[in-house]
Amino acid sequence: MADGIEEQAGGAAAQAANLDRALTAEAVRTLAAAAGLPLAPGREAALLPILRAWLSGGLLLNASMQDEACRDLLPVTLFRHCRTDPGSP
Amino acid sequence: MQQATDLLELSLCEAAALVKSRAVSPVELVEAVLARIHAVDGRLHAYITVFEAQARQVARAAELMIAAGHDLGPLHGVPLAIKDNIAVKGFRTTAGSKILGDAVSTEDATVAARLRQAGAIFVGKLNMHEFAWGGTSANPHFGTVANPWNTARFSAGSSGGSGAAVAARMCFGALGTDTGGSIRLPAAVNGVTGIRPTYGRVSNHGIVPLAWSMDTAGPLARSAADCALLFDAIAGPDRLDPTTCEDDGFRQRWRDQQADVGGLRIGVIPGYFDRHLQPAVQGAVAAALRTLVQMGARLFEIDVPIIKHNIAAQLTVEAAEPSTYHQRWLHRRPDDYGDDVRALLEAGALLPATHYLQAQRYRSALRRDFLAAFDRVDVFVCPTLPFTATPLGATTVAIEDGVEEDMLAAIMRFTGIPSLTGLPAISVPCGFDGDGLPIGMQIIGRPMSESFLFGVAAAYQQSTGFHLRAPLLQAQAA
Repeated sequence: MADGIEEQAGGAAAQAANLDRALTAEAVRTLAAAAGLPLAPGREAALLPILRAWLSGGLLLNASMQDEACRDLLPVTLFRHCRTDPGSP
Repeated sequence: MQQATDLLELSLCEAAALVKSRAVSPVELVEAVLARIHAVDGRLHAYITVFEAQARQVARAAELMIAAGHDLGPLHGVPLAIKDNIAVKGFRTTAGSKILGDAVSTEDATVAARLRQAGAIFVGKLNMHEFAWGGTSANPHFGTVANPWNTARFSAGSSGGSGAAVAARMCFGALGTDTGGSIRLPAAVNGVTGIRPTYGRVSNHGIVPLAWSMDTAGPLARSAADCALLFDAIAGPDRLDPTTCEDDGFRQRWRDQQADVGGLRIGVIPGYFDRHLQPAVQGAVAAALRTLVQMGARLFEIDVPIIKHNIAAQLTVEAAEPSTYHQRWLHRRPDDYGDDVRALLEAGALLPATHYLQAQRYRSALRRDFLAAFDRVDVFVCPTLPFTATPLGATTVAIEDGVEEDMLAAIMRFTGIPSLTGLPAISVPCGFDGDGLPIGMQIIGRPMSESFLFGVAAAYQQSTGFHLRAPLLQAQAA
């Protein structure tokens, strides 16, 4: 994570500013509809500050994870093959 | 017969030894603990359910068995308490929620069953942050858990009841669960010891999940030695939890482990471990490091540049996984959640999948960097959290220059690191601030190195007395 990281960080900062403008109450309702989340009227106000914080942090993380040095990283998962699995020797 | 108050000052190891030698009866221990709960829990709200009748009944049976020479195990007759997201057969497991408020468990969680097999007596189930999704234990359904050192301050969380109950002598040890810090944070702010085990070292079967890829269960008690005794009972493979690891002989290694830090190589991360701390926390941890050096340890500065992203990754994973588990209730019973947890769950449902997966890839990177660093050091040492107990109900905290910041992100600054990497970490008391509030130090070890961590923590506790101090919590007038 070295060359290009500042450029990515700058890009992420621009994305965060864009997010701040784009993340409105209406956008939250759209996201909720896409996620199938039944959002009661007025809930957007409670969610907006949390989403702004989480999504802006996530954008910075995304930018750093696009670095060439991260290319081969696999996500942490829960899969583990056990001797008790059906078909195991 | 000893005075009940004297019995409550026994460590868990001492209580267990006295029961074995028949110097103390399990009935005496249980009565002392129940009396203490009656006396102080009205102000602390550490318990959700107290098993008064059953605990007495089991204590009488335990007394008869030990008199007959029948020793159930290393915890025979010792009163313990269990966080209320861990199933205990025949009692409700609320997870601190209204949604599971009447959910009676039909079987023990594996960890509860193992404590039972070791002879422990359960005195009750402990309060917590609702569904473990938060770090304050401000519970709208069962009351806010108060800190025994100052009942106007929080006990942290999510295992706030576990930390408060151990500190206030309302049990000899407790089980908690830890996803982003939920054992270590209450251990630190309540002045007790608590360990987050290596991911997979302790079964999660029978425990209400928060975030599957980070959830662990572990003990809180007054010392590292007490925690080791509990850990010894609960750790190990479980066919009911496929994420558990093969048995690697913890018992033998803990017995062989020396409480010694001579030659210990301690890693510190300059610019992260020593920054953005309340001055008292910075001073206490620096003093603890000096103590460890005087005892023969050596400090090594380690550079982990990507560590700065750990909170974003932690929040992303800890948001997305609970929102997935809670979909069924979030869609049908949203009004039954407390305001804060409902908002966190609803927001977590809206995160992009790419954010979650990049956070999971980041965990691989962070783990890679820490495992590489363990070629040069044996442990990392840092504060458990950057501040001491905040006022009850606070959702923000001032760490530097009076600037208020979001509690949830601030509280996980250091505990998130072992959570993301799956590494074990123990929190031990290392001092007090000017208001007499406890400060915790986190020691992070290699995977499966719990016995080693207990040895380091026990050595530190043999040289210091912070873990021996008790809160001056007066009993309530009847």
